[in-house]
Amino acid sequence: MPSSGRLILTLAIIAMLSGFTVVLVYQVTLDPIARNHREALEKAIFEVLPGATARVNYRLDDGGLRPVSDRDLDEANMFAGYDKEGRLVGVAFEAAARGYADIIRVLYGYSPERECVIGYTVLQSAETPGLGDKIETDPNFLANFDGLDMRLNVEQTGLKHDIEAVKPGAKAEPWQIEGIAGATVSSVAVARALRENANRMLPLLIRHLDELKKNPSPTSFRRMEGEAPAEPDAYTDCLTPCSRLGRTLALHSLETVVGIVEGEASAEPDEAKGEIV
Amino acid sequence: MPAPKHDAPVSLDTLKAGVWKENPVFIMLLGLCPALAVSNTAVNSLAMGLASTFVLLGASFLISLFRNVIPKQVRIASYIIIIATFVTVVDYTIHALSLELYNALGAFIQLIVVNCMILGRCEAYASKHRVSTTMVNAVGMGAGFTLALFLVGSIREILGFGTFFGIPLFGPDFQVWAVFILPPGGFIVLSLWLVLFAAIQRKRDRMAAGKEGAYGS
Repeated sequence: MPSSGRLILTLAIIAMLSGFTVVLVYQVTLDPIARNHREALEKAIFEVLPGATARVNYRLDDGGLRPVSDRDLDEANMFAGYDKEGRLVGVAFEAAARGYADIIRVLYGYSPERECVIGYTVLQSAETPGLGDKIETDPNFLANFDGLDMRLNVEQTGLKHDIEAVKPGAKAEPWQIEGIAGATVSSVAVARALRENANRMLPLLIRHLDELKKNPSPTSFRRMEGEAPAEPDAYTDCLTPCSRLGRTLALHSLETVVGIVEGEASAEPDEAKGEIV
Repeated sequence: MPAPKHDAPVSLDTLKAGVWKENPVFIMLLGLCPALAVSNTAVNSLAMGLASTFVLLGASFLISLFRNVIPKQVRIASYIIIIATFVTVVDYTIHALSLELYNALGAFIQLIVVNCMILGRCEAYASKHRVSTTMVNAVGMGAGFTLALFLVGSIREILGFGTFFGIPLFGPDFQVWAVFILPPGGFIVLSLWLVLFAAIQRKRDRMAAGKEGAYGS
């Protein structure tokens, strides 16, 4: 039997070489992966804001409204779309709720002028193929989101009529979403995602609407196009790729946890059965 | 170190073994987890098969090359690290190439690391054979694995989505057979292929036996 030293040395060398390879590949693929994510998001934003040709990322919360550069895309929770003349077409929000299989993340476009949804697309879902995944493909279901009513109440604290999912064929009001037969849980989850997000974000949005309607400043346009920001962001610049990954991972897991807590812990059994049948 | 057992010269049989006679999925029943989980479309099956083949080739090459250096006591740990490294490389590469494919394959790329087909071939073959023989055999095994996934995936896509490589095969009135995209469909299609392969194997054995009998008399 070889000595312990030899065993340890062998494993150490293999592990070191392995670590070196992984870091090398990570460095090489870092930019393409980030670009893929950015392109996918950009495509989705222009899809839910028909007519938009430029976008500005924003972070909107109780602290106010501030533009976010493409490098800190993770911090953005709102994307304003502008047409060629620089007019505000609408605002895209990312909403999430627990679906049948996993968190469903959707992006919807909201028109402040018409006070309704003007576009909808699914960013991430693991719903059952052939049933739950119809929330991405079913033309009848997608038709719900063209003009889905999102008027605010008089006090401007939330929606006048909460978005709700109804049985197939039972849609009577413009704020109702006609569900998909055999995919009740998924349809309800989409409705819940939109309802919760709209109730939280729209009252904030209305306060900053005039700010948004102004043509985006040249600075934000430049940021948007991915060129160097006017004021270099010292904090971002000194981050190494690894710590950036760590931050992204932390953000993602946080997002998931919050999503789970916000949504119901799991689908109710009888509802779940409805999806399988 | 175990001396290479009378390494037979590389022949076509070394390559063909993995594709047919020792097909990892249909004959040896190895790597069934990805074979069932990501074989719902032809594209996913091919991608998974090729990714696994790449990992198998890379890991087999290194393990065969260093088979006399790695002490026996830590061989499994070493194999796992080597396999995990290749899996991570594949994971990042697919993520960089296509976000869509990456999302479709989900966690299963990372799970190649526990694909028993790969560790099994490293332990049973790569650690005992010359690099050249190992590589030829690994190509065959990878091809056999990819073929098996592709056969399962094609049937499931055709019946479950009514498409092949995303191209619609039937008219718009085709009622898709959703069960074939769901997990039970994976088991059903895989079992049908297993039956077919077992039947062919049996017929061959019988014919071979008959021939021998004829020569013997």
